[in-house]
Amino acid sequence: MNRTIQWIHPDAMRLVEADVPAVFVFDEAEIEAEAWTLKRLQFLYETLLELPVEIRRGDVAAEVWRFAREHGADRVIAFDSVNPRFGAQRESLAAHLKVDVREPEPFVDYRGHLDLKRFARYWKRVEPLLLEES
Amino acid sequence: MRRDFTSRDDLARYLAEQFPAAAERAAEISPIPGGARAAGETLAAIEPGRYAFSRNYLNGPVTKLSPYIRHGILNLAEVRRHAFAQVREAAHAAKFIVELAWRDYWQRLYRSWGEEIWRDREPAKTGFGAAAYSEELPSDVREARTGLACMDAFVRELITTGYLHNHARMWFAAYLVHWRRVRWQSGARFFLSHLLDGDPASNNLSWQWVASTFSHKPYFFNRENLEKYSGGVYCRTCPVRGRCDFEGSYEALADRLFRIEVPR
Repeated sequence: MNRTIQWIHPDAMRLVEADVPAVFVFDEAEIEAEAWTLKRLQFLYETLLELPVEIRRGDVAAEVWRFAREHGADRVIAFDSVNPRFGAQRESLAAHLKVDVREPEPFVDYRGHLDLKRFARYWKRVEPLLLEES
Repeated sequence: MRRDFTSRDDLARYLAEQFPAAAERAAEISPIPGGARAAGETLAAIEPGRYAFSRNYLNGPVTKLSPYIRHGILNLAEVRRHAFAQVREAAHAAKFIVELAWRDYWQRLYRSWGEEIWRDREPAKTGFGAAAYSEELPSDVREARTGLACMDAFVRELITTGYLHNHARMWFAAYLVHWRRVRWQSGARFFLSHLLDGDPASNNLSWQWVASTFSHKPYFFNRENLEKYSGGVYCRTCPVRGRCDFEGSYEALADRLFRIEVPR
């Protein structure tokens, strides 16, 4: 096996790469944990209908792994997310697949230490980078 | 799952069948559509220059980009580039860029704190310990029956559209936490349930900012402030106009609401 699939998730509803089979899984645990209402599901579903993606529901890692098997894939690509739920799913998948997580385009490319104690401290550091036109 | 639908209502019916618990919580569909096409149209319509002057007004030029940013349909870097392209001088987009930076800031904290964003980051600066705040979202609040025209309207708007102006979110959060003395987590869960842009980091940490468990003082307001920035639409028809709990100077309200002196 030497094929790749892509995993679209609610924190990055866009393709990582064109022409790679894509899957999205409605996470039943997340929907219940955050008590999502129909509005959010409709918003996400409308977004998915514009993408060449297979839409599933259930346990995310299990469904992505199933989709990979169906496509004879041993590698999955996805955009990174800071949500711990994504981190756990990514770890589960890594037991079965090579997981290649891509960084979305950074908002600010600051290389030094950022003090996050209060927004004002963070802003003081990033402001010069953000307010100049690139 | 299916991909062939004849209309938004057709999709909504299908989703209600597939996710009955979500539909039972609230079956409304937002007028804000999903999708990259809608995101692009929303982005094309932003006015970052005007935003700086009147974003705090409920009828001001807010962008409604947040649901698209929350779900990664648009990213902050491309929104920033677009904002700069709309103004003659970079400084005119500054206020808008600050708001994008708040989102980046919350995401960075989420990366370091994870689920800890559900806990008080610091003790509240209100003079009350955590035990003074009740756990439950009161039913009159949840059901838009408080008798306060503003708060009831905010709840109805949240439930029917999945969106609230940022100022309305702040007023509502302050009302719930400081006037009703409810734990911020209950309000945060209510918002996460209904907001299209509901994101645990931006949502919870903004609630903590209002509650003063992640800021140096509690956020609160008075009726004059709400009336000004809402254009008076709620106060005009409010059954308790002139005698609501938000009447008074900031000093008088702080004396009533908090046990310690709160700086303005």
